[in-house]
Amino acid sequence: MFLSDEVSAILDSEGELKARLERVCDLLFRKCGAKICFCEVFSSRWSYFAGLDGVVVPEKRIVLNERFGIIAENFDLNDTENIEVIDILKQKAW
Amino acid sequence: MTTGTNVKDWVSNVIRRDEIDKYLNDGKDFIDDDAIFRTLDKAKTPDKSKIRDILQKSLEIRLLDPFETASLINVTDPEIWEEMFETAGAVKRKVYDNRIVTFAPLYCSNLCVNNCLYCAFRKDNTREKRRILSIDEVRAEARSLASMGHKRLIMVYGEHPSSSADYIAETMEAVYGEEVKTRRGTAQIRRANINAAPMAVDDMKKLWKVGIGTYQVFQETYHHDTYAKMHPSGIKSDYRWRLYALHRALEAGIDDVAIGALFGIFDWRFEVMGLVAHSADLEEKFGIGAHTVSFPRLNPAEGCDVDTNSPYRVSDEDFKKLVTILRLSIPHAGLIITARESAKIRREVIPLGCTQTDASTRIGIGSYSEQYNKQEMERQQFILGDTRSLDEVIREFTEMGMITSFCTAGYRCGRTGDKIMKLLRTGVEGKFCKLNAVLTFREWLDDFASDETKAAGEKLLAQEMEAVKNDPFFKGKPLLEQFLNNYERIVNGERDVFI
Repeated sequence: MFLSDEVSAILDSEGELKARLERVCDLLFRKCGAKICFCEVFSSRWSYFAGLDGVVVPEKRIVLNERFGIIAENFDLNDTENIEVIDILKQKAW
Repeated sequence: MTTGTNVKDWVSNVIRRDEIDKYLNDGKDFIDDDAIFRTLDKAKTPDKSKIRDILQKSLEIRLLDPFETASLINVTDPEIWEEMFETAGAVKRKVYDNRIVTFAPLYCSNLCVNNCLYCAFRKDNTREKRRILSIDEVRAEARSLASMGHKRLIMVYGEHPSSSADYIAETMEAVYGEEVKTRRGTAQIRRANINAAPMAVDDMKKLWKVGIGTYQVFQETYHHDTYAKMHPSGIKSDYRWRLYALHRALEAGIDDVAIGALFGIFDWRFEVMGLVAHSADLEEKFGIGAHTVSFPRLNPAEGCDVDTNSPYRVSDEDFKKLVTILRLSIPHAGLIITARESAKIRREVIPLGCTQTDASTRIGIGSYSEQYNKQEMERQQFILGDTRSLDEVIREFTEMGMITSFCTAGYRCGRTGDKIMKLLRTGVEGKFCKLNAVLTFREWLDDFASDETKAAGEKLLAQEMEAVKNDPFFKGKPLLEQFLNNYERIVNGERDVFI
């Protein structure tokens, strides 16, 4: 299964949004060592919403949609699979 | 234009009873005056070894319980007090390293429906010149402040229909939208904290949507009877509406909230207990305690005589004690000391655990862009103790071994609410504080510092860089490389580069 399919399956599953996003964070860490956390974005404020324990070094800040952005560490945006993951997150992390 | 009838209508519709009642416990609020007095009494004559155990607990960055705080309050042994002062400084350095964050207050309006006896803004004070800044005037103020090098503001408003949540949101957007050219780059305000009246949840959501930093509501006094005496009329006369303002803020999604008390209107020991209880209740209900704690002392204010007549005025010695106890009781919270205090007092108290302060401060409405240089009682909420410039204050901090930080990284990187609280407690956030202090200080030195301050600042920066490179937390890690890279980017003229 492609990584983006796994992410999609999690986001389509039942359960609270926060819990599903945390499962996505866990998946990305296990599969590719990427640390991400989801933030609700309001103007310059990126309020923590979901993620794993510990800190994520903000190597990248990516706006997903009108509600969320992600802070990402060790997440290669040149990797095709990762680009597809971002596309899924943009559509379904809502 | 708001007419008298409109104001009355507005006042009668502000308080939402259901947004208080939902938080009560068997119809009572969480401040039990009698219980506080009993705890203070029970904790009298504390044992030296017990106090040292409490200090150790603070050093482990663990919250103190009410009895422990009361025990510290009751210490009379000067030798133990010296240990407490030292431990408070050590706790601060453990959580926040040697950085001190700097900001400026921006007063946007002094129209007010309340009648607080200690405040020059009270509606019965006819000598006060009333004004509310237009949005263009707010922009002008923001540009003046950005031109000094400020990046963080606390925006202050009277409680009045003309400074409703919609106006506050508009002023925040105005402030965030301004940019000025500097010596080597550009500057802007990057974090707007708000000190405003308690609001309903729906109104607070408006502030959240425009990117509020911290929402600050001071209870002024936690003692119920004194509160009633000091706030005889207006919306502010409702103790519980104010007390639960930050509970509502957290419910609205604003995850950085700040508390404070005005010291001098009741017994400082009681107020310290009240502040600690307030943070504890927020922590219990939402998992997020106070982001910062403020402790302004009564100052002279136009049309008020509370400051001269109060039997509870706090001496300088007691002021140092209460700051120390707050530091020890809530080890990870920010502590804010302002320019209400004299330069001398700030010098003595900041090392006891303060993390934030202001400089180049003017509190008259429109006073930054209109550049009036002398304090005017009829334009200000109170009289300031320290009017020194940002440059002068930063130079002094540098000489004290403290790096001035203009960091606004946390709230732009998801280090907010309970997330930042956990990171502060484990010492991790302090590492980021250090890095962002260096980055923002570099920026400020290049764009704003006088020659004298720059010379002192460069020496300090060199020491800070060495400390970072040798810190095992950073050594050999990708984070160090990113930091050094960011530092170079700022040296080369890029701005607002943060970690």
